[in-house]
Amino acid sequence: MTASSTFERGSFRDRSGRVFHQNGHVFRALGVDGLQNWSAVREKSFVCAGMDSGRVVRTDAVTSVVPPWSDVDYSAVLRHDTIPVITWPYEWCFSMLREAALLTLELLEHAILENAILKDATPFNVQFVGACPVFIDTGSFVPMQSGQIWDGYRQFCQMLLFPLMLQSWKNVDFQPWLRGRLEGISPADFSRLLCFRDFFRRGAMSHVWLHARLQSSRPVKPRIADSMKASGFSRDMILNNVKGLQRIVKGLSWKPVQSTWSDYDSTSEPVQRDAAAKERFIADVCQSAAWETVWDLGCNQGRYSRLAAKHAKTVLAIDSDHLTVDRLFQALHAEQNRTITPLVSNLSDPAPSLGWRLQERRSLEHRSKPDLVFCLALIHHLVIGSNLLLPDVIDWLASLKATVVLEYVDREDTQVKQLLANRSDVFSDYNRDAFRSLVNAAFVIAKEQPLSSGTRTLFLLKPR
Amino acid sequence: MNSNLLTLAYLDPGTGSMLLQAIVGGSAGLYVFFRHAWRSFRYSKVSLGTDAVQSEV
Repeated sequence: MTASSTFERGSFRDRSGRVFHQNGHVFRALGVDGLQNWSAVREKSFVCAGMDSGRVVRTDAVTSVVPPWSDVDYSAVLRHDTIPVITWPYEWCFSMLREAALLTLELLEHAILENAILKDATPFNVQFVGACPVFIDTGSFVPMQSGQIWDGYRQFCQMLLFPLMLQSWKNVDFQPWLRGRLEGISPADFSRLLCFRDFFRRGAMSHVWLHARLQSSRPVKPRIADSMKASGFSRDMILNNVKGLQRIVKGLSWKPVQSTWSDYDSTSEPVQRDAAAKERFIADVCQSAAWETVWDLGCNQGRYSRLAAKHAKTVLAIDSDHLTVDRLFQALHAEQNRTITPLVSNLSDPAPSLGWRLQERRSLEHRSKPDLVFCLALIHHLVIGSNLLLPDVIDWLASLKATVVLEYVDREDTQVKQLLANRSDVFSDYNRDAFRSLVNAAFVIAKEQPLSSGTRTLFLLKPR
Repeated sequence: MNSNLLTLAYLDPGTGSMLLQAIVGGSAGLYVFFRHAWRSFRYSKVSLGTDAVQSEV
């Protein structure tokens, strides 16, 4: 054991193996069962082809690494390729969750054809390298037993299928539901949300309504799995179910015409006027160093994330507008972009650390440390739109210990006037002098450039 | 259930979800579902009979 070796806090539910970190690398310690399972599946073509295509995380056995101390005797250690930034399903957009569902079903289908199965089906098994989904839980692949049912079916419905249906059928954002309960939406709860028309949609009667009814019934025989096996349950039935689920998920779409911010970049007058100068400023900053991780806060259509991606290893494009993020993901996914990961997050209400001891699913600041942050035309929304205190916002930005490119928007700007149009102006603390004094105390102003709109200024801020 | 199946099931698959997998598994799955239902029905009759005998004793 080395001093920097720690178990991943969110990896404990499956006793057959446990993920740990050592010297910046990711490893999986396998127990006896875990090793047996991995030995049985690692040569199967769905695993090898998945790794070759990047759809399954590259995994190799290592002998020189010892897991952190624990009561469990581990039999082997695997090393996984590192995912640049771990993200959670309640930070994803609709299309990201849909891609995660399709990847899970695709791997399950191929596994079944080779007499293996995925023993669970949580979206936490999928991560994104840029906009490309990668299945990371190799411990989920196990050999299939005769007459075995798919243990992950309920989990698939609760954490992938129902949230997708909720977004597609009801146009209700799924993220707060997944964030509110890590086990997802139960069949009974989701069934109660459906109206008469919904029951004519594909999958509603079987996977939702009947699922809820059967869940609420008390079993006459205590060991259903034994009885199902004795009654002739076979792998073809799981395969039929998987193919049906694939048809349903592929048929789910979410295409609202527009949202508050979906056309902001292309229609906002100040944005259009300042765009060229802003791009030059940001391009200069991006070229000035080899950045590890860039956060583009309020990324909108991702114009500046794309600039950053030319010089950075990883870019997180963050916006609270779901539709904008979804469109950005679709564009990046079509390009197979492996640098920019879009996320849905409201900075004034970000996803907190959740789960067991509040350490199982940690907040973004625990998972990613940026060295460059874009905060472009955002600060007036945080202070005036979300009622945050200006000193607090500057203090939070400084706490990231990163270089910050900040666009300050004056009170005379049309966007600020719009924000204040229908509310009393209680934001006397939001003014250029106060801003400059706070920024001077928290950062070193390395560069400052007024934009042609006359109401906006770009600042390059270095951490003190 | 054999010991291998037990070690795989760290996740509670849910009773209703297990039954539903037969129903959505095609026509052969429906046959399995009804066969299971018939076996359960017979099992409940046998259990009731055993309970009755035990209560008489």
